[in-house]
Amino acid sequence: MRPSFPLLLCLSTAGFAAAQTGPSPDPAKRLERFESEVRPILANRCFSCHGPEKQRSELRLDHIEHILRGGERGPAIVPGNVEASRLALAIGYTEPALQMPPKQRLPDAERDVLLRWIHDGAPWPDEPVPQAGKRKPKFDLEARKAEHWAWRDLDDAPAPNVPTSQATYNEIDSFLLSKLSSIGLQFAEETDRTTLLRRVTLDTTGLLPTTAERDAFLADTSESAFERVVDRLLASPRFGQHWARHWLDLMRYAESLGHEFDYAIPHAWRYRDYVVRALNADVPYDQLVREHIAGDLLEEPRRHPEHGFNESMIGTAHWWFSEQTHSPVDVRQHTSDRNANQIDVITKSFLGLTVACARCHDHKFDAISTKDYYALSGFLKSSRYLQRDVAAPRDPQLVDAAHRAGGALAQAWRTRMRRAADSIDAEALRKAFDKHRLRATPERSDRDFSPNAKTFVDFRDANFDDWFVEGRAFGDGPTEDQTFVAGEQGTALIDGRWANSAAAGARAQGVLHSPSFDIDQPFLHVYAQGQRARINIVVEGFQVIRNPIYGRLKQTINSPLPRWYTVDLRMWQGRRASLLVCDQEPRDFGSGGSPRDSFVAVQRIVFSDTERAPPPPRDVPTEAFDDIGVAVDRAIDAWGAGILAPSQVRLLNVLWAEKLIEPGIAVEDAAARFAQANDRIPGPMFVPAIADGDGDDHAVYIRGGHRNEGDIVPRRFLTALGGEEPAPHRREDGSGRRRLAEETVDNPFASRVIVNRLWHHVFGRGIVPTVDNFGVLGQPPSHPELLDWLARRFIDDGWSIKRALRRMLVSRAYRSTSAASAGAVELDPENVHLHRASVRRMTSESVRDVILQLSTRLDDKLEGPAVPTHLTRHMTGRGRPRSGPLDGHGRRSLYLSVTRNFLSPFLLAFDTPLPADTRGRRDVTNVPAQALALLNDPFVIAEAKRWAEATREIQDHAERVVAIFERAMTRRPSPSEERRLVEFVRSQAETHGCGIDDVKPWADLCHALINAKEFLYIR
Amino acid sequence: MIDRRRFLTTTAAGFGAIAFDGLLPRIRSADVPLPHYAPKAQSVIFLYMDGGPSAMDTFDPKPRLTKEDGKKFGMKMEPTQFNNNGNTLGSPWKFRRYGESGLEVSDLFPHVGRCADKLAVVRSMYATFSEHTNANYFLHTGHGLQGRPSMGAWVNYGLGSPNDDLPGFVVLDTGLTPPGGLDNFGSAFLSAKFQASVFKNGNHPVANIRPADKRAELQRNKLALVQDLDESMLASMTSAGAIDAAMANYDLAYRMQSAIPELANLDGESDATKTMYGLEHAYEPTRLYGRHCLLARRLVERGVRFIELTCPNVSGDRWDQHGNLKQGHENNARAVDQPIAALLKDLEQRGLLDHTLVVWAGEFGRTPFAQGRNGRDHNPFGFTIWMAGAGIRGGTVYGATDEYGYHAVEGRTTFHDLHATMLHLLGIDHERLTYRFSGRDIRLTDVHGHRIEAILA
Repeated sequence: MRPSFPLLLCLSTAGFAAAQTGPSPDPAKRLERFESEVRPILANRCFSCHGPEKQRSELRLDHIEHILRGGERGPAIVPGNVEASRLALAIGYTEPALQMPPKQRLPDAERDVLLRWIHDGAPWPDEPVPQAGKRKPKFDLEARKAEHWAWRDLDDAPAPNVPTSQATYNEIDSFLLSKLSSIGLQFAEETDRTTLLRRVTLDTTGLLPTTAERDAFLADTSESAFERVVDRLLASPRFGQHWARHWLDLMRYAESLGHEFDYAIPHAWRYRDYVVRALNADVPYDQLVREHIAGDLLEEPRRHPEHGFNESMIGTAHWWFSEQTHSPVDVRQHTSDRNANQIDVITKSFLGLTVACARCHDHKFDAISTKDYYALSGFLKSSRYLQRDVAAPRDPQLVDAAHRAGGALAQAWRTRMRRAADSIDAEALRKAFDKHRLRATPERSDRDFSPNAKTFVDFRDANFDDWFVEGRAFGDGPTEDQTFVAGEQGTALIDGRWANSAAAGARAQGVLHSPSFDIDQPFLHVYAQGQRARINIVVEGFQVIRNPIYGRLKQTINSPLPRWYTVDLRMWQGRRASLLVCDQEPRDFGSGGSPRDSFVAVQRIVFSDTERAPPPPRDVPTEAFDDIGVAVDRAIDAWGAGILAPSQVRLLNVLWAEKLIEPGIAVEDAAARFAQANDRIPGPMFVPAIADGDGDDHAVYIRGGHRNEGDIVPRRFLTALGGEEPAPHRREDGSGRRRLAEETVDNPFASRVIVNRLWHHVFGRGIVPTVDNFGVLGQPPSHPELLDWLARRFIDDGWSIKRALRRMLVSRAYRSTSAASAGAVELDPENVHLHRASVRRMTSESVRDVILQLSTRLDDKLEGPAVPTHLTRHMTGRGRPRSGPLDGHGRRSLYLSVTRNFLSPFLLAFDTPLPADTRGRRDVTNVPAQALALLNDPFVIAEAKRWAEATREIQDHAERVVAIFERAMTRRPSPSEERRLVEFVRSQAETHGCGIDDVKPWADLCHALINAKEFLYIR
Repeated sequence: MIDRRRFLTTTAAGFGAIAFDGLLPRIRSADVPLPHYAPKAQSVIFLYMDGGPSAMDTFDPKPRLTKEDGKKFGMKMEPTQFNNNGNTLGSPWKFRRYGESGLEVSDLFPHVGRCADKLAVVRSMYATFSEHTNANYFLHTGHGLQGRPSMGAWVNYGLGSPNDDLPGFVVLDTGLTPPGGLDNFGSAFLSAKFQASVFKNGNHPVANIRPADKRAELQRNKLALVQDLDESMLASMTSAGAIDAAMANYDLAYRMQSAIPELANLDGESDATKTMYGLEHAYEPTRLYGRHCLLARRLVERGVRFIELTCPNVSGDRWDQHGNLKQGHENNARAVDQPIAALLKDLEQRGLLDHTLVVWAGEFGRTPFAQGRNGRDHNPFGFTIWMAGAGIRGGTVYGATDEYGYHAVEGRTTFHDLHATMLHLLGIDHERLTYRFSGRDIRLTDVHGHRIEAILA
């Protein structure tokens, strides 16, 4: 950072001003003054942080050599030049980012002494340079890598042999038993089949087994009965619905940005459905990771087998689930915070590493450097947020038919105009031309406009070259011929050599986005024409383009004739930016989009230092005023022949825009046929996705400070995992994420981390319990050999999540009872060695879903936009969305809206995590809000009643009690329990003062069972 | 098997019941007993001034602004949120000296002014966030982004709560939810039992607190059945800490159903008390805020650790006067001035002020120059908060802003320092209250924070 010039203006104290002008004393005097005045101040005020003991910011001030060498920000002073000296800036206390001493500014007298000393050339006595004091241990990446287990390659030790007397179903059991026997334990006995079925059904699908499923399992006496259950459950679509939630916890899945107004992330829900489909289809895990990092760049994107849309692209949506601020004052700070969250999520999720800890300094414990962190930041700097169309390719026949219908409509207009030309009112036409400022403008040339104006692009003689084309609308370059556009938004012609979004038909949507540029002039002018389209300026990657600050970075393009649109960039000079020409429904974050038939066309973009736009074109069709009939006739001839002059285009556009010619029946019929033909083309399918921009490496932010840039780091993967600097960058390589995707799966962390996550959910505790942190501060694996064996099998098995899960679920270990055998509690109190099953509470989603299942309200439909979460009166705040139904239409909790500032209190009470960062392991808390929710929440009460009503047809009270109980608990009640339940219903009816066949006592029974711990806990 | 009743009484964790977290790493080093030293304060009442009240219009008089009112502003202007900066804007209010200390308070706060000798005013706050949401997270959690525990959660995590029937962290929501939403009051990675319970106005201030059953007997019967079922389940289990804890939780929830309505019922308060708090005030926001100030005292009496009051909705806006400063600040002050003074007096009269810390703070201050003609934009570079009560030296002023009230220049203080001071008064060394999360030992004060010694008694 350079000290700013106004510094001296602020240092207005008389003392310093006098010293500046006074004569400089001789050298001896100056040294004397140094010892008596300067050194004491430095010693008192500065040395404690910048002296022999500590060197904050790597700066020490106890010798002139150190001072001149400076610290992280560069030299501390320039002798004789106060204005250029950072020390002077710091003690001046005018720059918020650099104020020293940090607690309190120096008394004016002391400050003046230091300033005068700098002014006098910073004399320092000739004395030895003090040696380096206490040195921090050097960050040694290689040593750290060598010392910590997780960086090592996968071991390939086979499963240990265990005595044949021990029951093992597969190798997992051998590994576990070998450890167990070493501490004198073995597996607890197998649990009963009813408990096992309930456990496995909840673990795989998040729902309860039905009574029929229980009976079938109990009746199946074959050896492989349980394997068949596991296979059935893993094949159920409910598997994906349940396990997707585990995945969404990693990706801090949310459908809004949070912060003040909680703007929507349009179409985020498609990502949720993508995860469900991928898990149900058992898409290989390495493929899923590739899709998350670079699904937009895959050579052969995975397509939906039935609908043909691009699945791989949807995987990139997670990049945009970060919290985002509305109108940040410092946009670079905001981008830097967002990047930290994005990097944190992918590295924790896929590598189990806390890379974001290296944002401000080399990682305190792991083999991850600050350069590694900023190397990864470069991938994000080189990528952009876009709503991207993933729909299947359009049927060319339908497109062709629409094109022909458009031709017919144009022909109908030509016929109509020829007939009606003479009836045009010349006075009205004159007024129309005035209105559009086509006639009265004095001739000016571009040269008159601004000598410093700089053309950014002029599509009259440029192609898309270094521009990026998104979607179908813009074709592959500026159109050579005129384009006819017609639809609900009006009728117009676009001249040739414009970049235009009607290039590929009326309804095609898309975005044309510019190469990155530095904002070096205060105004930007765009010569554009369009209907309900937008131009966005994206500064430092920030796309929440809203007032109060950022609203001016968008321009709605809404003019049937071309005109200049001016964007005021004064606030963002020096920032990096790109320009987006948008003709598609989601235009930034938040809601709102373009209606059908919008379009936009751009011819020129110019930067200038004046707010005044360049002059409009001069070729006004004056002949129109002499004889309008002839002028129109000529224009129609030229249009039919494809030789329209720009002035003629303008004439026709004025006629349409001002409705000077009524369409008539033939045109209306042709327009209707054109609309029908367009309606037959399937529309776009948008997803918040990532796209490549220009390859831009990121600078190290020294100590995480975005105003404190250090060296530029080339984009690459983590050094300790073989990340190498790429060959010199070529534009066609784009961001480089494609390669990053391969590197993310090609390392020992990738497979270990995922099998450990699966294990965590199956057994309740990961082999590495800190599932998101395999670093030094995580916990070490309890069974390292088993972890590596699982990881190897997983890779050999084609990264199949379902096969890995099956292996765990059919193991003997999974089937143990949750009761500890004698002595086991002392030997292994936390059940680290899995001699028994762990007792776990249902997930929050399961609690709600199972209540719906019991009440028969459950609608386990897959996919679709979220059902708005029901809002209670306790849920208040800005951006409050509309409330949804109490029962969420019976949809599973996965499909309730995840609006950051308005999350479901019911789910939060049961530990659904906030969508802030990666959460591979949820908290399991026990708070009164849980009991209060199950006791008094209207949702629970209503479903208990619905459940009771659904059992109304069972006449016999004892039978009805049993049916209700076993639906909830899977098992039948014991005779004494049965008696107690019947008695409860009877006495509750009495208390209500109603008959026993009234629904009330039965609803009370159902309600009580929902509150029983046996219902809530998985044994 | 552990006897459940015994388990309940021996685990004096109070409201939070017993966390089922055998799977989680230890949440606090066992060798650090809390409090670390004898506490001055047992409870904190945090009067949150939503939107950022202006320092130079309340507790930090700046004659130079009055002198240069309407003139071009005399210092370099930092970027502001609206960038619609006008000229220097003098305060529309006069300041008076109050009490023995002679503390200067503007005419916006005549009632609080009369309590001047109880206040320690810190005029040199600064922060790094110019937007409400980040600034609110910073004030509440010590971190400018979503996802850290609120100070009330930290306090309860450190000290637990002496009341078994009420939550240890209560937010009295008078009408306005701060920008940033309920995450200002969350527990983040700390156990959910430490998060705030948000109480609304009215007799049933907590969600699901009203029993769903029409008669108490109906609910008791249900709970008796649940208990029978649970106990038969327990009998079949060997390691049932989780089930035990969940059962204890029902006992607590059951008690809360009566404790909270009892708390909210003000029938036992004298008319004089109610009048003093402004419950009869002509202005509705004053009545609402007065009621919550009175509830705050009742919560302190019941041992609740941390109580935060949010602002009522006055016509106009929170203290966020980007325009129309005069009317907006007057409305906001009118709503809170009398109730706050009543709270201070009432606490003192009842001997509660000696162990209750009262904190008055917004997320930032406002610019000394106008936004547009008659507003002030956000100013995080220098602003004022005050504290009163336990361990605070009343009638003190600490720190200073420059002559314009723009930047803090003496005794520069951050919210980390406020947090460190607050924890200190509660008997906690802020550097030793940590939670291991995401590979780091995280503190409320991050790696910062110093006690503000000058205001301690």
